Amino acid sequence: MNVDQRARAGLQFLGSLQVFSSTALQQQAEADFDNAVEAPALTRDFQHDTDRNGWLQRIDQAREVVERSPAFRFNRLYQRYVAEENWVRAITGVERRREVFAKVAPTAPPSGDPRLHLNPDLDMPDYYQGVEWHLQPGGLDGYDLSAAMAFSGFIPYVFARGGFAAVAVGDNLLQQRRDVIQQFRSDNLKCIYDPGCGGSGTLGLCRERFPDAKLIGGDLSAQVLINGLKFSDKTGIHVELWQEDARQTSQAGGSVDGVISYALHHELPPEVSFDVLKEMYRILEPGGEMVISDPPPFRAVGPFQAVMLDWETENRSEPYFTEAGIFDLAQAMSDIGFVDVEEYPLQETRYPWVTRGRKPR
Amino acid sequence: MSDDAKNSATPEHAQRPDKPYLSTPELDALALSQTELLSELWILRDRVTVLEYLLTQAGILKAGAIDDFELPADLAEDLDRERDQLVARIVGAGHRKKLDLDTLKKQS
Repeated sequence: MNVDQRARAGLQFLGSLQVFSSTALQQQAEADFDNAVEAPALTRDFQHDTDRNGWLQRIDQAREVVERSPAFRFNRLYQRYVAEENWVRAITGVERRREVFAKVAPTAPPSGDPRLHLNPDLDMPDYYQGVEWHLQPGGLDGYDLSAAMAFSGFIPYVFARGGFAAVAVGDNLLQQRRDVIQQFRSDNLKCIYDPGCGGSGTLGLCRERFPDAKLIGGDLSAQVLINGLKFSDKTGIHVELWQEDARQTSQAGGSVDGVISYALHHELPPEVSFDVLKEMYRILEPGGEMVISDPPPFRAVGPFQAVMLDWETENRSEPYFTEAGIFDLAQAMSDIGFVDVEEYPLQETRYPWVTRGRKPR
Repeated sequence: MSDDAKNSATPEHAQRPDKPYLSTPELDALALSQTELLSELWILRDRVTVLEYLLTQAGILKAGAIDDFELPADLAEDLDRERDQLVARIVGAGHRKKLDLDTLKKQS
């Protein structure tokens, strides 16, 4: 099912603009920064950790230098333009074919279906309520044809080309997720939980490595879970989905032996992130593993990349991106009781950034 | 769009920041307009390319027919006139000092 020519070509234009912005302009902007007299001292500062205020101060100082570059300013203008127009072009493209897309739109199964547990009474947390994540008009639950908007709209034509946030141009997003799943130490997990499963994409790739595991996903958004169930039915990955807060799940203590968290923690305030880790620790059985993938923390990147990551907070409706860049997930896991905690990048670009640990036996 | 999507409030975080990306808000607006025009140009070029492809596949147009086409005098005159008007309208938009009836009549 395709959008019309206008939407397709318009979205493809955004993909090309984003690629140009994130290669030629970004390289020029980085060279401009490297040539600045302040660059060596700022780079030295970034090589050791500091407290929250220290990071905010360093990023302010780096931003002042980075923003002098005309190439950087145009790069950011185009990033914002693409981030907005993604929605404009995908939604209007789907709307022009509403009747066709509506016929195949995912719908909730009857109440009581064991594959999907929706909770209309769930209290949406304050940090989540009303946020239009990534500038999506109406938020995650605002648009009834969101699956078509994503999969026939911006994912193939814009998202798949990379060049936004921590994702580099040419990154293979699917392969990156596969690589993250490879970070589980065990080859034969029996039950895996994903605390922010979205449309079940990560669980789908878990199925490739763990063909016999029970796969369970949780999310606050009913719409993405409904989309996720449709994806599961279509691909035969067989997941069980719960609309729930990852800080207080329906899963019994010690009931899973793997937790996968992909691109979730940068959407959480640090205190929520900590509570989610505690809950994952609770539901893991002794010896069970947790693998997290998210953008890199500021302590793992240089000043130029830090400024670009920090930019997401105010400019792409990522309200907790900066705080997540300061938060030390690995330290939090150790504080909670996880052992064998490690953190490392999977690529030279420092993304995906993996943090993993194990509950003691 | 669903009624829910239409009626949803716009949270603070989705607003465009007050601080301009370039040096002034006016420059941002001009650069975004220019980018939007470039996008429209691409959509049109994409459409013409698809159209030529489909016409060629259907046997209505021979490959290279448009490039090899020699303009007949009447069509060449029409295109000259249209092109001159387009240039005058767009290039001249920022240079117009006043509106007068005679000029408008000539443009019609």
